[in-house]
Amino acid sequence: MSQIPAFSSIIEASDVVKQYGTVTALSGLNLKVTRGEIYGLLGPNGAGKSTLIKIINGLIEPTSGTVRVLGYDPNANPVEVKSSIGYVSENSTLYESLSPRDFFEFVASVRKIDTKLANERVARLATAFGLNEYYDSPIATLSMGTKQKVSIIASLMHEPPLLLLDEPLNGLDAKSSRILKDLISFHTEKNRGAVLFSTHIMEVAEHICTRIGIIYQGKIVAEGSLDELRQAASGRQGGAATLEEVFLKLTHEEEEIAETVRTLREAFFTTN
Amino acid sequence: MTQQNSMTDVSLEGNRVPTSMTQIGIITKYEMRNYFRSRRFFILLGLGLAIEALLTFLVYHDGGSSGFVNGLQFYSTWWGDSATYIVIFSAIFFGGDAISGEFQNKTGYFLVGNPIRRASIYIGKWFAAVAASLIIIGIATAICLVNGIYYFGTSVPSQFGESLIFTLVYLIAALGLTFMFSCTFKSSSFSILVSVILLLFGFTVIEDLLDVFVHIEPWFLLSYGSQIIGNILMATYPAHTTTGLGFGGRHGAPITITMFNATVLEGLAIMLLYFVVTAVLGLVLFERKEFN
Repeated sequence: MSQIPAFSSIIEASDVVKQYGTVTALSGLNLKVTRGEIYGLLGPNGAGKSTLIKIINGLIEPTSGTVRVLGYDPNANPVEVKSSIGYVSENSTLYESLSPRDFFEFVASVRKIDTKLANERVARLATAFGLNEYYDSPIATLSMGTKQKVSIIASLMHEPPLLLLDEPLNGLDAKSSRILKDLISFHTEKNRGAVLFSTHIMEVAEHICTRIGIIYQGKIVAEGSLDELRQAASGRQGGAATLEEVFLKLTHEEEEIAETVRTLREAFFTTN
Repeated sequence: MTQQNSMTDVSLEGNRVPTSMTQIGIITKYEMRNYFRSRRFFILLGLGLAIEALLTFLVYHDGGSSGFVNGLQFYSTWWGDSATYIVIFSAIFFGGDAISGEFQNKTGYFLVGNPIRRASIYIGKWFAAVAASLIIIGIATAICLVNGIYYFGTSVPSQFGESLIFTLVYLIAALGLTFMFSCTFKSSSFSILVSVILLLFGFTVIEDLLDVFVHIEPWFLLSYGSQIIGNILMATYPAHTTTGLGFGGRHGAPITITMFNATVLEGLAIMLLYFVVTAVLGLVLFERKEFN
């Protein structure tokens, strides 16, 4: 990688609004991710996590607001931005008739990675993720977790400055999850790059993220390190020890859950 | 890159992408690989071979060359009738869901997430569809020619060559149309269905209705332009003809049917115009389509 000044912004999003017809997915969201950061995006289903990641990657356009990736508008300069991003989609499907080998060759060619270099990188990653035995099998025959590994390797092949990972641990076994978490950490060492990833797994966010943003109803409602979030949450009724508790407090779901559980208990467990 | 990086002084590392032409080549190569590993290519190949085998058998069964006045009539019957169907099926099979399939199967999230211009994806896929169709058409042409040469010798009428060229023009127009439908819908089955309805029945039905009831030359229909594929193989190139069907019309007026026939230049113009308009529209639609 080339010489990069430390702590420069990689993502800047200001007042981003995205509407699908009458549904508002993002409502004036602001976000800044700098080099060296592992930014975890947490939020309930439908909060706008995937929409934000797709906007950053230029797959969809915001209704209003501005997004910059390394200073470039993803919609005005899609090729420039995408060449700097490694993307794992939440619901991407790979070309089933191709093998992982074909797939990596395709990625190497569209990203203009030197063949020898691409082969070396893929060989290392494939060995790490235990993909070697499936290397020439059609992707259609692979398990969901193995397909996810193919997708992850493809996103890392060009050593991008920005990794956008939308629920990357879906389907991964424990060993591969651990390897991916370590790779994410390596990626941001010495401020080489940044990672933005969404997850539902609180422990992962708690352990590897340098900063966490809680997205709720299309906005970042709280942001900071785990300690900062704990402090923000403790300002509301009672303290919060774990990220899960912080998350539930900040998204106002704690009371709702308590009410739901009480209702269920009354309905199912009090019929003596 | 046109925009000054105001926030940082970093360059986009790894920002090396192939030229647009190389991108098109890469997409074409992998789309072709995808076709050759998919059932649809072999289904269409089998269909084409079955049609040609049936024609070979029927001509042989009916006495071979004795059933035809000359070579031109042979090629007219064999090629003129079947070529348009081979083109239509190729356009439906290879173009009907070329783009909509990326949305429906969600493979587009991966494909468009790469630093490839959408125009390169569109054009690359279009070239792959043309190439796959040309293999099918090539095999059909070869079988037709082998039969023709067997019955009438090597002096193949020049009109067959012209008809073949018109077939290729029809192919690019039909693929332009099916690609446009493929960019209009996000459902593969919907875009294929619309392509099937229009290319197999819709255009022909509208053309017939216009001939019979309105007496308007259907110059705006692709099927009208494609008539030149068969017409060029006729001994005398057909002109517009009006036929009376008696006095059964309103107030005892005579009923007439006008059979319009496009000239070669009109036919070529219609097909090329269809290609240009649908290619541009399809590309614009694809550029604007969101992967939400």
